[in-house]
Amino acid sequence: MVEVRLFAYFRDNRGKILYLDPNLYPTVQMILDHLGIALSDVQILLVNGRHSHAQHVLKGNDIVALFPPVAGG
Amino acid sequence: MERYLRNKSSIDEHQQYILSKKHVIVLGCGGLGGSVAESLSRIGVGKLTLVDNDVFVLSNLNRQRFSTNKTIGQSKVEVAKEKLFEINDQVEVIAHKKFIDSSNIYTLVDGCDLVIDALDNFETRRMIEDADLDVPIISAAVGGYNGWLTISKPGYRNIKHLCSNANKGVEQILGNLSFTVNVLAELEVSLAIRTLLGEEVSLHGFYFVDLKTLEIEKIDIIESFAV
Repeated sequence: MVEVRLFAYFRDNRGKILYLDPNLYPTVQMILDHLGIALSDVQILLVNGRHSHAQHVLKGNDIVALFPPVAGG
Repeated sequence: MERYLRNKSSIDEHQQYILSKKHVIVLGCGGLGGSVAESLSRIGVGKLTLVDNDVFVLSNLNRQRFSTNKTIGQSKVEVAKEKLFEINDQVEVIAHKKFIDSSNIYTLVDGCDLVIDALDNFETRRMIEDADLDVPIISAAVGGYNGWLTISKPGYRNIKHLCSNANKGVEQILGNLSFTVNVLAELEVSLAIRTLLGEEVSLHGFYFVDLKTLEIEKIDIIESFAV
């Protein structure tokens, strides 16, 4: 399973951590679509701790982390 | 000195002396910056430079340390300088009511030991990191119940990961809450004091704070230290 870690308001009504089958959701974009998160709302997209992109093809045990932009002072 | 009695022994006399010789520049004197400046003053950092071009407006009152009904319309840095003198008259405070940009950043930071990024936009945050300053930058941002904290040092950069091409973030929708601002400001101070006292604080990534779940999570980014 792919572990999807959500941060900030992405957690609202979705939870903090989800486990998704990469056979059903083979790319980050398909996970975003499943979660109803627009790619344009994501500031940091990490796969296994490295910057990645929506078309990244996922495999079992991958960890995806998604953060929105936060800039306020 | 009795003023610093309750800093002991977490901060011993020698460390207190070291702090008294340090100069910190606080970029932005709003929510984060006002609280950071007050804490650095109370703890005994010897010299503070505050930079912000804004005046207080009504919408600052929910969170910004030196905003009151009386200070609306007044310069944030001038008000802060006055209040900080009341708190600790042994701290030298320099106030610059001006914008921060690539033409003045080197002059502003010259002679400082540490930069506190308490700004409110990505463009200026990115600019100060791209300036390749020879001192550490401690940076934080807030939006709603969340915030991030990081440190950027010569040799590796962390702020760039957190800055989007848009100039603002979710705070435009979720607002800036007083408790989030103050938690992140005090985390900046904590990191600042450790850094000023010579502790090696290495971070390849950032800390993400969630005040709904009361969690601080360290996020490591592989290769984020590469310039």
